[in-house]
Amino acid sequence: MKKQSNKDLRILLLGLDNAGKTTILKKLASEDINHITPTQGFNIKTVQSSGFRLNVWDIGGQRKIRPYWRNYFENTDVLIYVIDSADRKRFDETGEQLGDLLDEDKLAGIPVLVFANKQDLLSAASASEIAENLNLHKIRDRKWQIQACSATTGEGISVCNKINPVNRILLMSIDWRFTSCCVYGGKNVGQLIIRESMICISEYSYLGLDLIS
Amino acid sequence: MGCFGSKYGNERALAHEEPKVYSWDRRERVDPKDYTLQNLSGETVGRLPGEVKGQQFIIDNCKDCNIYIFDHSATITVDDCTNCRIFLGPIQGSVFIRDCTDCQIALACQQFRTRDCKKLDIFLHCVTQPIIEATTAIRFGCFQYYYKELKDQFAAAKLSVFSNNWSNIHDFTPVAGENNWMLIPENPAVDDYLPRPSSDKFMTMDISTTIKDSVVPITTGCRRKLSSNSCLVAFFADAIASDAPLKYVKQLQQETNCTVVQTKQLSMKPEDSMRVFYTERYNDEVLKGDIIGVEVNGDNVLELSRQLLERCCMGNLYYLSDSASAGNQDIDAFFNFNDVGMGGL
Repeated sequence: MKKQSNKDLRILLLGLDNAGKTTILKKLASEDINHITPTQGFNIKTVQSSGFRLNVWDIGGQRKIRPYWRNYFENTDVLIYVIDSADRKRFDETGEQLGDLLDEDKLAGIPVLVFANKQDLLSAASASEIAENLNLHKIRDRKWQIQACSATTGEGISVCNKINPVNRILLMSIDWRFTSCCVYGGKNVGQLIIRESMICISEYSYLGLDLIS
Repeated sequence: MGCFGSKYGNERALAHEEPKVYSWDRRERVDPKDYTLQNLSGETVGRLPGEVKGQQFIIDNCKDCNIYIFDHSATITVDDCTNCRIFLGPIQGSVFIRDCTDCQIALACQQFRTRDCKKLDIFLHCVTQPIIEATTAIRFGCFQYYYKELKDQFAAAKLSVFSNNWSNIHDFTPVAGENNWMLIPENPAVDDYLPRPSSDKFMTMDISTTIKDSVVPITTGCRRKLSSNSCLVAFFADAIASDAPLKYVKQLQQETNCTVVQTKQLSMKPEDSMRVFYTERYNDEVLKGDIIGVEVNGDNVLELSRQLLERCCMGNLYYLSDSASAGNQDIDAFFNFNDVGMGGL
C-alpha cells in the first residue's frame, strides 16, 4: 500500500456499489467491460507512461464493506468518487458517504474528482444537478471537480490522445481536467503536475511545466 | 453537460477550451415515464419486444402485480416491490433489486445484485458471480424461458447464453449457522412461480418454459452431482458457428440421464489453450473465435458424449476429456483459467 517511489501517484476510486467504479477502471485500461463481476474486495490497475505510474485502487462499495474503505486512505493523492447518475433513489445515500469521506482526517485537503457516471442512461441527472444535490459548492477545504461521464461509452473518462498542433492547450483533455486538481492541490505541487500530465499524454508534460512556471 | 468545479485554480488552462459535446447532449430525448413502472397495484403490465430497445428501465413500488419486460435493456432497478411476479429480458449491465419482498422473478443479466430483500425466488442467468447483501430467504434456479425474440435479445445485450453463474452466489452478509440463500427444488414448473401473462397486450407472445425449449441451456450448477464421472467438452469456432454446442446439450439432456453442470463461453490465447488442453492442437482454433466449454456428468457420460458429438459437430473440431479421471482436472483448468486476480479486504 505504500508508495514505491516519487514516480508513483496513488488514486483512490470510491463510491456506492453499482456506481461503475470497476467499469471505469477497466475502460481506462482498454479492457473488456462485458464480464465485470461485482467487486468483493478491491482491484488495482497501474497505468504507466514515461516512467511514471498511476496506481488506481478500486474498492468494493457495498454497505457492509464501506467501513473498510479507511484501510486504503493512506498516501492518497487524488480521490475519485463515482456516482450512478441514474440511481436517483440513492442520491441521499451517496451524498452522505461522500460527506463522511470528506470529513476523514487522512483525506484532508486531498483533491476530489466526482464522476457523474452513467450519463448514457435515460434517467441520468446532469452533473450540475448532482453537484447541487450533493452541495458540492460548499466544499471549501480542497480542490474539487465534477465530470459527467459514461464508463460504457468511454466518454468523459478517456485519456486524451489528441493535441491541437497550433495551441496544444486547446484540445487538452477536458476529461482529465482533474489534472488541475493535482496541479494546484496541496502537496508536491510541481511534481504532481509533471506526473499527471505525463499520464495524460507524454507531450503534455511540457505544457505541465509551462502551467506552473 | 461538461464538467465544472472549484473556482480557484485552473482558469489559465481552461480559458481557451471549447465546450465539449457528448453523445448524451445530442441524443434524442425520451420520456422516462415510458421506461418506468411505478406505484401500481394488482395489475398485469409490461413491455413487448421492441418497446425498450436497450434503454434503462425502472420498476418501483409495485404491489400484487405481474410485470413482463419482454425486451433487452441497459440496466434495471427494482425497488420496493411486494408480492409481484416479474420477467426481465436480457440486461446488458446490472440488475439491482432492493427492498423487495415475496417476489418471483426470472431474469438474465451481466450483474445481479440485491440488498434488503426477503423471500425471493429467482430464475437466473448471470454472466458474472451474483451477489446478495442483507437478503434472506432468497432461492435461485436456472433461467428457463423461451419466446421467439429472446435469442436475439441476448445477442443485443452482449450476453452469451452459455456464460451462466446462476448458482455461484456471493453473500456479503452471511449469518453464522443460517443460510440466507438456497436452491429452488430441481425441475421446477416455472409457470407455477411465474404465470404466463394473461392480459391482451401479451396475446401475441409465444412463450415456452420447458427445459427443451429454453434459450439458456439448463445447468445443475452447485446442485449435488448424480455420478462421480464428469468430463469437459469444448467447442471451437467452426462448431459454434454450426450451433453444435446447443444441439449437443439438448440431445444429452433429452436422450440420456446425464446432466449439464455448467457452461461458459470465453476467448483464449494459444498459450491459454496449451495450459488448458496440454496440446498445441487447438492453437489455431482459438485464434478463430470464442470457445464454449461444457461440464457434463453421468455414469456413462464419456461414451455417450462421444457418440453425440460425432453427430452434432459434423466433422468440426471439438475437445472431449480422455477419461473420466482426467475430467475433473480439465474442468478445473477450463472454468478457472481466467479468474482475475482479486484482492481481499
